[in-house]
Amino acid sequence: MDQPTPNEHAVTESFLPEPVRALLDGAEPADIVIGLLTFNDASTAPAVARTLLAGLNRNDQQRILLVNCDAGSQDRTPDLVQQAVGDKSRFWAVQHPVMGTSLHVLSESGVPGRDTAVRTLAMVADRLASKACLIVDGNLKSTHPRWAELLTAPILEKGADCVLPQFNRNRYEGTLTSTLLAPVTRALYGRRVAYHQGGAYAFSGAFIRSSLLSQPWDGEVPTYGIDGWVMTLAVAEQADVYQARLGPRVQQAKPLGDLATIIAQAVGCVFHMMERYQHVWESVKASTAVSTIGEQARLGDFVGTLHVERMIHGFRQGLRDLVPIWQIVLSPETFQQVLELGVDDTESFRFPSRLWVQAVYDLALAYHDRLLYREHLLKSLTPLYLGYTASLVLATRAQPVTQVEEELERLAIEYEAMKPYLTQRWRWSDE
Amino acid sequence: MSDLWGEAMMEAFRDMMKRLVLFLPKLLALASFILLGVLVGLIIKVILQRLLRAARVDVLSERWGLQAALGRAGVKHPLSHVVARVAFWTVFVVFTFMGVDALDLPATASLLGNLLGYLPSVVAACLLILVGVLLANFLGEATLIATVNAQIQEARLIATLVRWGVLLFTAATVLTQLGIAKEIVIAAFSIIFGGVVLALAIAVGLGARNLARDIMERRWRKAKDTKNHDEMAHL
Repeated sequence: MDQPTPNEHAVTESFLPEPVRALLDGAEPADIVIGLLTFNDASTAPAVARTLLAGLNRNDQQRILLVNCDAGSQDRTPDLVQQAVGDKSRFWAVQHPVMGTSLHVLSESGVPGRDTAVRTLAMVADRLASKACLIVDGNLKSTHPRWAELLTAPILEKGADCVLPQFNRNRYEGTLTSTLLAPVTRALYGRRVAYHQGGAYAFSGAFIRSSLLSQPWDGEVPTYGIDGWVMTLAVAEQADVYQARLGPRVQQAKPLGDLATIIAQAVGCVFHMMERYQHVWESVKASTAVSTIGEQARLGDFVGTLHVERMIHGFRQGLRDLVPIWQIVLSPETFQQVLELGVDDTESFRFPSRLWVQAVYDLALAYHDRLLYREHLLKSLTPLYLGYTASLVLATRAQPVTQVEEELERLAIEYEAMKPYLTQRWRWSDE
Repeated sequence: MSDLWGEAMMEAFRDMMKRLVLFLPKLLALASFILLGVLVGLIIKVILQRLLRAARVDVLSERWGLQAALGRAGVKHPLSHVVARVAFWTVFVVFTFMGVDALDLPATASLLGNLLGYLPSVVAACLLILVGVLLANFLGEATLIATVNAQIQEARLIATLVRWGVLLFTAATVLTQLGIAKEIVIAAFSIIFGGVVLALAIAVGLGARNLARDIMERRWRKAKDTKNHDEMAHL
């Protein structure tokens, strides 16, 4: 893609806050820009900054700039980060704008206006002609010096466009990701990515220029949340994606938002991108693994409590009360099969994988056809998701971890096998 | 005698013929207006139906729940068909009234003027009905999904109350707009709405006092209440 003209620069940079523009004027280029996203993370962010710099400073030839994008912390986070960084490294403290529209968007890091922070960092990296831009959450407790190397090496040494994280997970951690987001993305675009949202990822300067900055940021990103959006974008744009196995992700704060909102935003992002990238996914027939670096780890044992009965109760209530809505969004065949699911005996309750995949594809089609107000449509998926998750837990909780991995792999293959179901109906609805 | 009779007959005949000659063009005008009304109405109906279909109004009405609301009211046709038919009959009625006005009968004098004077109120009322039904369906649907996802047992009841509350408010506004029994409508609405609010206040304040307290406690002390919540990250 061509470099933007000075005039185009002026248009896109009008978004940048004045202090950032002032910093950019006459700034020296940087090979790597590290973006640290923070909001009241005084207890963790300084350590994250130190760790990342320690990881990158092993190679003295790189010019590194650490940019702390803060959403207006009240606990002196930027000051503490600056103290931690010291005078040896280049450091900018930036307060990114928090738009009203992005306030409702969930963020795993709890940083408001996360989309504008990422956009600011992308523009800074672009203006400083950086080779790589690394974006890391300031609330992480598990960062390791190796992270910086794992996330930037594929870009600097192998010419990758984007490095996505792959964290160690427990067996039932991230079930929405493992039962819907990741397998749907794999079936659609043919790339097997773990689809972790947030934490840490990196982009090449070329990818930022050609794909990231040219996107309609104001229109869709605030609606869906930046992390899922960039993840889907990288895969859908057929970028050269790498995955970095970073080990565990331990965060200080828990994800925000209730389950229905999480589903609406995360699944809505995937469905929205399906409409934009129809020309890409329609012709994809099979999936391939993406290049992955770092030490491999299996699913860990689940720690914590799971209330399967509560999940089944949620599904049962959906079955009782959401029938008029499911009747609209599901195909008659799927709807009938969902109605026939017995929920009288909790232990023997099973939600077949095939039916789950069919329901997800039906919802994607209903979303495409706008059969219902989209947010309602997406939120009506919640009881179905609870039902399938409960079934997965019931079927595998007495089994070893490998059984869960096999079950999830079978599900991913089911998504791929049933893709013609989606493609055919999608085409019919377009005719 | 026979001359007088003949003259009277002729006079009456002449008068009749004179009146007939004067009335016939008016009758012809009425017939023409009716015919024109049918023709113009049909043309407008066809054009409007095509325009509405091209604008995917039927799909939108289905998505917004308007079609379902029409279905519940016994209307089985798509919205584009209904609107086109209403347009046809409106045009036809207007032309017919013009024809009746052309007859120049004392009983029908200023009929068209009155009709046209009332038309803005009718149009405004129709728009109010449309917006009211759409809003009622949207809010009812949103409430149903939110309460089901929150696993509130009375989800359907709450959603129905929201829906009918909006419909009731719409009905009162429409009747007021049309000027039909304004005082009675306002009084009836105030009594019904006030009654519902009072009933809810009594139900929550007395009957479900403990439940209300539990709900509020759960909401405000959410962070501490982890007993019934899963400790799993969904993303």
